[in-house]
This record gives sequence, structure tokens and C-alpha cells, in this order.
Amino acid sequence: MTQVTRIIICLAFICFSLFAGALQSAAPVMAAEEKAAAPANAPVIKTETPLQKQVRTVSSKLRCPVCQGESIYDSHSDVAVEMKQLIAEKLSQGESVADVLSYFQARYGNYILMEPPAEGIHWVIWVFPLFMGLMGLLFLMQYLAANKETARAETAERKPAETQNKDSAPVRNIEELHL
Amino acid sequence: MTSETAPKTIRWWHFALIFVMILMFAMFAAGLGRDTKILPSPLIGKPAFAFDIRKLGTEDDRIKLADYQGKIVVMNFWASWCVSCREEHEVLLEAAKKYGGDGKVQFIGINHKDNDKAAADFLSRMGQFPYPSGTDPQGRLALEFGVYGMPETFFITDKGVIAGKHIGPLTMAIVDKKMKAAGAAQ
Repeated sequence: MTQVTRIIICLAFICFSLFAGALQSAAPVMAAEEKAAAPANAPVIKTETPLQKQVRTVSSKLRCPVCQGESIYDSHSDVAVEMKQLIAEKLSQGESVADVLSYFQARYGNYILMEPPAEGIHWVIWVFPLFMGLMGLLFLMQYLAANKETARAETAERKPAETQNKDSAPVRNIEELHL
Repeated sequence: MTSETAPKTIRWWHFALIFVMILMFAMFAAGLGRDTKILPSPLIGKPAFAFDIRKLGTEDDRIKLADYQGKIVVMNFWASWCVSCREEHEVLLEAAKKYGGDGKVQFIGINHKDNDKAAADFLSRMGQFPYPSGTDPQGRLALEFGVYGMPETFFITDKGVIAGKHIGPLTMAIVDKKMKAAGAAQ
């Protein structure tokens, strides 16, 4: 395996782990960005009541059943609008965020959650990027250690030869001088 | 000794890496081969939610699931605006004729987010169902049953347990299979 290939593999591992990690956290990050950007861009958000805030929290965590990779908070489909209304009703009746989420989870399964729960087979999704990152690091460490060892061996091989050259050079020069 | 001549050692993590790669590709292959329209429902094997809704085309006649206790219930969500519902309409008429005759099986239609006039027009155009339909104008019953879209059909055993569901237009083969799971005589 050439050095370039090794470096590419290391970088691929690390990039993959970072990319997978970024994908997992994309939804909450996007929600946080919206949260941060909203007051400046949309004055309506400034008057957001605690209930609306809770509805936003819950609806950001639920997948729109008829859309592709979109939360019901982001969707304007009929079913998403209806779900948001139901969420608001349930929350105003005193149900907690967890209660409302489990209501939908019980009816639609884990698919309805934007982030898969860290349980059962879903652990793979959470652990895999970490594992790949670790593998990349191990690979990199081994490669660097092997490189260092090679460099040391090459230096050790070169030293006696250089010493020999250094020893013989003055003699040759002296011989040349004598000539 | 240079790295080229050094003996290659196979470490534990080489095996781990190969194992994970194989696992990853297997998961991708399994995922890519799956029909995205088939979503596992957590409701299968659970008791059906009791409901009490207005009967389509009436002022305040009611349809209650409790009224059909002891019967196998086929609950079909439909709407006049749903294109796929037209496709399965003939199948529903045939299925109701095949299974609904002996009084052990009850078919119920749930008219979803529709209005009575549009629904009545649809039925007079496509053929009247030989069973009643209830109304779900806001789609709340659909949410209660974890419905994704129209049409969708639930097969409930005579004990009130959801034995199966089908997303999309029915065929007689699907009805037969689901009815068998619900305990109906073929």
C-alpha cells in the first residue's frame, strides 16, 4: 500500500465519521439556527407564547408522514398542519412534551421521530461514526509509527556508509595532495 | 530492515474493521432492497382505538366500533379526492360481497377530510358501498390510527385487536391475506 493510499484511507475514515456525526446532529443544529435567526428575521417569533414554543419543540422532533425528510414544523402539508393542531391541544390540556412524542411514536413507530432513539439496533447509528473515527485514528497512529520506524532504520543504514565516506574522503584528499 | 521487507502483522482491529465494513454494506443492501412504502406499524397486535363518529350522509347518526364487538372489522379510510381510492373501489365492493355476507365480518368506511356532498357524488359515480361510512372531517381518527395517507385499510379481529393494515389501494389477494390474518374463513 502506498503512502498516498494510506493517507487517503485515514482521511476517508475521519471525514466519514465527521460527516455521519454531522448528519445526526443536523436536525437539532438546524432547529437551533432557526431559533437564533428567527428573532431578527421574523418579528412574529418575538411574540411566541410558551405554548407555541413547546409546539415548535415537539413538531421539530416529528417527521412529516407524507414528506421526504421534513419535520412537521417545516411542512405545510395537511397532515402536518393537523398534527401541529393536535400537539397544541394536547399540550394545552397539560400533557408533557414526552407524552405527546410517545403518543405519535405509539401510532407511527420510531419512523415518526426525526432522531432515532438511542436504543436497540439504533445504537449502531450512534456508535458507528465514533467507531469509524477511532479506526481512522488507530490507522493514522500505526501509519505514523511505521513511518518513524522506517525513517529511523534508513538513518541507521545511512550512518555507517556516511562515516565510511567521511573517513575515506580525507585520505583521498591527502593522497591527492601528495600527488 | 525497511518497511517493505518487514513481516506484515494482522491486528485485531483489522478484523473489526472488515467486520464493520461487511455489516455496513449488508445494512445498505438490506435498506436499498426494501420497499419504502411498507412501514412497520406498531399498532399490529394492539387493541383498536374505540371511536364514535357521525355516519356519512346523516345529521347525527353514529358509527361506533363498540357496536361491532365480536365481529371482524375491516376499516377502510377513503376520500372522494383520493385517486387511488377509485382504483380500489371495485375491490372493496367485491371484498364486501365475499366476506360481508355471513354477518361475521363488518366493513366500515371512514370518509377522510371530505364533505358529504363530494362523498355522495363519488359513491353515486363509482357505486354505493354495501356498508356504512363514518366521517373524519379533521382527520383526527386517521391520526389516532397512525394513518399515512389515503387509502389505508385496517383489519381488526373479532377480539378487537388490529391484525393487519395496508397502505395504498387494495387488491383481492391482499384482502384475502389480511382477512386470513384477522381470522376470517376463506
